[in-house]
Amino acid sequence: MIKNLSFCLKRKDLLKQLVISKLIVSQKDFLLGYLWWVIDPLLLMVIYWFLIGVIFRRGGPDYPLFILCGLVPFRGFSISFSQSVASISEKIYLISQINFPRIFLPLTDVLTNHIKLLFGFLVIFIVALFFNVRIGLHYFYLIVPFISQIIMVSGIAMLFSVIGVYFRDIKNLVQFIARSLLYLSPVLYSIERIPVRYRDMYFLCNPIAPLLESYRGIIMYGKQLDISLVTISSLQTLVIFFIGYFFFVSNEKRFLKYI
Amino acid sequence: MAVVELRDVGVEFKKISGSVRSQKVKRSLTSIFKKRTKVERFWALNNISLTLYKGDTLGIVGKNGAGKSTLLKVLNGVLVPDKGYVNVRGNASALLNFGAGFHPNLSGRENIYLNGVFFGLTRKEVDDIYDEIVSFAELEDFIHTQLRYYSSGMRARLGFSVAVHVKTDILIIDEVYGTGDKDFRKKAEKKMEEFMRQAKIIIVVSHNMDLITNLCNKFLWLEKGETREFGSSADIVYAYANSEP
Repeated sequence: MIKNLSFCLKRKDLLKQLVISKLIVSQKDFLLGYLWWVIDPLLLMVIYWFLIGVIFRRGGPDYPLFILCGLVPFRGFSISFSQSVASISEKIYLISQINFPRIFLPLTDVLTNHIKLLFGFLVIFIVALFFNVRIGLHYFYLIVPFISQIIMVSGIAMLFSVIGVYFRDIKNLVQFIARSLLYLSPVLYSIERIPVRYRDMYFLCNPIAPLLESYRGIIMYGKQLDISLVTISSLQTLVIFFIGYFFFVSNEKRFLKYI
Repeated sequence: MAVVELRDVGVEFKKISGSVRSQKVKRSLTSIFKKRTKVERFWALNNISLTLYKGDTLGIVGKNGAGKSTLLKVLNGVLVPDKGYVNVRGNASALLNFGAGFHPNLSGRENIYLNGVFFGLTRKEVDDIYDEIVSFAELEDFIHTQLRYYSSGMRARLGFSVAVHVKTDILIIDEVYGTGDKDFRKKAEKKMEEFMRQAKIIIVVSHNMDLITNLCNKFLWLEKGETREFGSSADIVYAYANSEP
């Protein structure tokens, strides 16, 4: 375990370079390049606003901003989650020839997606200006759920990247789960819709929910950090991260031979 | 002081006939009704012991499937053995396949950095050898072009150039010298010799017996995953060459 950690630390430049490479690759072939990172959340916002705000006549005047606050961080999570099953199984040619901390592969995917997520936040801030929301120093609190999200998603990605080596068809299942979670998380609706007595249960079962609530509270309602939300989600984050990490490390030797 | 030390190393593989996945599903389904079907196991490497000191050059010979590549992977750290003890002091660099970490959508420059850090360098260390790598590969004009527009020769040159400019303690070579045109090959061989001189230990796998006897001072003959013979006499290689039908 210690050996594994020190190996990772020694090779941290590799992680950096992998993330840079992936960011470059992901925009190189497109006409609009990096602009997609901004356009993408806006398009999604318009679609959901059209569906729920216009067709179903729900949501209220600031609904576009409301969706955006949930959708942008959620997409960071769901894309990382879906990609993680392939992050090792599609890099077999590398793993079978070069010795490097294999754990960097899922981490690269997570970090790349969350760097793109930062651009999504930029979009949120701009849209927030249109809706006359008070943007202030309290926005710095966003760092807390953001870091928490990265660590938690890393844990999930480490776990599923290993599972993806053994069962290639898990990809379909994961995509289904990611899509269902969109509707099971407070992205398109407010947490108020969940009856109060089930709310703790809901937060406990869905680790993304407290994060999304924190983001939205800070951005839209000028709230400070909710201590109980932060406590729940940091506990969840730590548990998920360590499950993922131990699962990865204890299986590493086995999947090296399997591939 | 021993730089590479292997004691009773063994790597076990499972042999499952048919598609792996269908076997797996079948096994889990049938296991409800009867005992689990047995998976055949075999040792791809078994009881391998060897010690190499600074300055040693080890030549490995053996038929296809004798475990040569598996042994290289153990030395390289890509595979962790199931039993035995492995101690490799220093960083091992494998020339198993030049440019293994290359990405077609990245430019030559970006690929040099990516490949360099894959070999264990820091970004700063790549900075220092970057110019040398580019000029050796003769790719100054194309270094900002995406790799997918490179010819296979250009790609091989770049891969080779990165590999030999990375200073490593232990060099592992698996059948080389297939890169580029005639002129470049000559240059490559020269650079290779220079590279070999600075490495502490070289491990070569080749079917070229002359190359092995010229280059190496220790020889290992692998057969069916086990050591047939190991020692510092070139007779081992001749014996192997004569054993072939």
